[in-house]
Amino acid sequence: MSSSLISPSELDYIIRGVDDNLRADGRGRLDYREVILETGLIFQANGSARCRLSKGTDVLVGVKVEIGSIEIDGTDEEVAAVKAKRGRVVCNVECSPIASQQFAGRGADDINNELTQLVDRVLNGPQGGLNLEKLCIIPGEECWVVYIDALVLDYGGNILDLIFMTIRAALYNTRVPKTVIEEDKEVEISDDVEEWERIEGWELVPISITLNKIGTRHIVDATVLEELATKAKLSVMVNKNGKICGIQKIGGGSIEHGLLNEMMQTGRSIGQNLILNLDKMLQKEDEINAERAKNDKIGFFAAA
Amino acid sequence: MADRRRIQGPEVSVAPIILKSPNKIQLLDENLCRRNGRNLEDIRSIYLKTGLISQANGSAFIELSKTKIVCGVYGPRQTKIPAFSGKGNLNCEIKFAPFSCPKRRPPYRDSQEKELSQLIYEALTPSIRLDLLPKSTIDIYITILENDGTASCLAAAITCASVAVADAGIEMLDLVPACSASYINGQIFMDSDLIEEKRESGSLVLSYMPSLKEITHILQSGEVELNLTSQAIEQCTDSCSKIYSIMIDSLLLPIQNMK
Amino acid sequence: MNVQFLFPKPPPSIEEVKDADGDIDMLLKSQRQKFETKVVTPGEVIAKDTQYMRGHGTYLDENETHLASVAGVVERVNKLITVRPLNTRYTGNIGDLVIGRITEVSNKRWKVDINSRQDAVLLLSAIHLPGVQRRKTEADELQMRKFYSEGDLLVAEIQGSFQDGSSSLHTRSLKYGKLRNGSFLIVPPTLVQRTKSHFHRLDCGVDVTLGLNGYVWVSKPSSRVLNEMSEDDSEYIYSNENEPIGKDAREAIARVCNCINALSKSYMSITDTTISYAYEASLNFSVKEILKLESIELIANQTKQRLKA
Repeated sequence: MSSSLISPSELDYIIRGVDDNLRADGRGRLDYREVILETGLIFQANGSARCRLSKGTDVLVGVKVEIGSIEIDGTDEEVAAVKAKRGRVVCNVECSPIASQQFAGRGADDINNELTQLVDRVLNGPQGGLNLEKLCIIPGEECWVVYIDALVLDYGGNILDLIFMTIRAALYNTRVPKTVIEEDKEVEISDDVEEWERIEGWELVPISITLNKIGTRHIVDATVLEELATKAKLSVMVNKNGKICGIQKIGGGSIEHGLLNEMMQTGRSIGQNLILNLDKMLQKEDEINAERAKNDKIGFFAAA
Repeated sequence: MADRRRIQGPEVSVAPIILKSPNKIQLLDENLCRRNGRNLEDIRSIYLKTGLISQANGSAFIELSKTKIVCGVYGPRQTKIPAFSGKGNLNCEIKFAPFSCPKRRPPYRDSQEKELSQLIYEALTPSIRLDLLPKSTIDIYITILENDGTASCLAAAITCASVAVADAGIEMLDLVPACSASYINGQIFMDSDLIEEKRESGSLVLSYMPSLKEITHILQSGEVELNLTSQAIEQCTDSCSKIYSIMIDSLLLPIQNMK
Repeated sequence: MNVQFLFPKPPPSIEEVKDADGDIDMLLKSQRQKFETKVVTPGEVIAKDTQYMRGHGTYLDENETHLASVAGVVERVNKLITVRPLNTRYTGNIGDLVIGRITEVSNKRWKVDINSRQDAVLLLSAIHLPGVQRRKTEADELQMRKFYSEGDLLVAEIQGSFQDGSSSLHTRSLKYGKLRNGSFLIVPPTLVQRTKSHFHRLDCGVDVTLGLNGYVWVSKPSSRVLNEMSEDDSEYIYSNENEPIGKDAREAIARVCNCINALSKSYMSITDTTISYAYEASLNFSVKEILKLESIELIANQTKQRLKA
């Protein structure tokens, strides 16, 4: 399947459709596809979640927490003092070659790198929402390192939004072990799984809304063909409180000033709406997960 | 390895594995039952499903209690290499997801993954009719989402890949189920999980074509008596036959849904 | 603008029947009784007789028994046994109508992707040249992109096949050629059956072109009637311009696309009849509601019932 070619007449059809607010599959410009969400699938990981669009993009995120040493930053005393009391977040995004023909071999390297840098820029820092101070075990020496690994298993367009949604769901699902520090600075980890705590600050983790500029308008949640018709994409990262946590333009085209403002406003309102619905869903998941633990868990790829 | 494109984690990080003293874990109780109620020769129950990746020509997902593996197959498609080849090219790639093992794995492919890819290639090649596909390439991509026993992961990966190749409609001589066993204290533990694997003195992975009664791959490590090995091979081939019927049912399920 | 989140649905449970030795007999075994409708997997024995000739999807072992090499349905025509796989790459047969996308432009030929093992070949001598019965000139060789360029979608017929499995296409008649005014879809090739014509005009005023290779083109009918003898018309078939498409036509095209998607997700075969039934069943929903999983199920069930009646 030649996944990166499109004909001029298809291009024209898509652009005019977007103009008329009627896309190729009947959606309006700002309509999202249905997302199927599951959490708590990987037992080896401290937290995990999976989001997918029916027969479209499929993203799996696993979060592991491990004990690591705090880096001593020799340059600036003030910065070093702050860092000494914090845990760390390390992100990684990988597009598996299973997801699409274009990711085979080294094809995915560039996009992996771009997405990893993007996600890292958003999650590492105060805008990332997570309470890093709570992740410190022994100030200046040991801290929790949160490894967030995203794996894209199927490609149907709109990867970035799904990655952030799934990361938020996985962090909701993550439990950090409780530690007890002995006198000789030995770290004891509590055995009792019930005592493990949820990561503080998960509700402030931002999600992204990617707006694709097609013709003179913009759309949300693009399919593969619509992405090929896009000249420029704008990713707006927004959190629960409506604050903008990051903006990035991707692609070779340019965006006019007025359109840019419009896109940011749209991104922000859709983003907050998405967070509300996602949170409602996550709470329901908790109740269902408790029930599922009693019966046999269904195979996780079992669903439609 | 200075990998500048990735954000490096700390050089040393330790997974907070709850260290109960190893002597406290009993692998067998008085009735020779294993920890989750299994007997020595029982394999874990398998869940197999095909056709979940929309972009791939064939795909399969396998789950054995905690082990979860996804496989996607692309092909046959045109070989990019200009040199003519009378028979088809088979390319296998296996990857552990970073969150799949107790200790996080780095994102780049390491030597263990390269070796496992080669093993899977050797296990599957005898079963696929590559002579019917000149100038074509078949790509098999396997991702291990959760690992509960490395030898059993390899066996499950071979099973899963074979089902995915059949799901893609590629002509094969037979399906290839695979099975693993551990040697612990002179006994054979079939399909061992991570905790049992830590105590093993040797392991065996075997893949078998039941209709043709041929073994496509065997890999044993550790020092073992010959008769124990033969017994283990017998048990593995028996288990492979059981796994074979599960593979068949998973391939024929879409027809049932059509009716 | 509301983003909908769903739970995964558990799979439909299969009734398990235990037979004498406590083994679970899956429903399918009882369906495998009859020889003709037998469903097999690779390595399974089909027949022990040597009187049969083996076809695609089978092979002989040392004991002269016929074994299947793919997962599929056994078909027997007189003495020839073949196994038709459930899911396979499309293999071209002469006379098949296919839709393809140009991947490469090279010396006097184009390489076309038709969802098959190899890319197909479209020779410069096999296309309809503008002008009345014009012959190929050297200028044509140098300006191949004027006709078809990389990424273009076209409908063609398979003229022949080479030994390595690749096919050769032609677009000599005016009904073949570049596709415009519509939307492109991919469905599994096994769901498209061979019928007399693959160009369908549905009652709702939408044209559907079903390629046997699983590529489908849904478009607005062209208002221009093409004439072989006219020079303008022959130039027109290589144009990339779409006609203006009104909002109603666009909605109808989107609706048909979603119906075809619904049929393909439910593994139902795609013919003009099934598409029409699905279209009528879908009128209860708005166009974008057809994308939801529950609507797809409802539409598929209604279509199945109408087909049985």
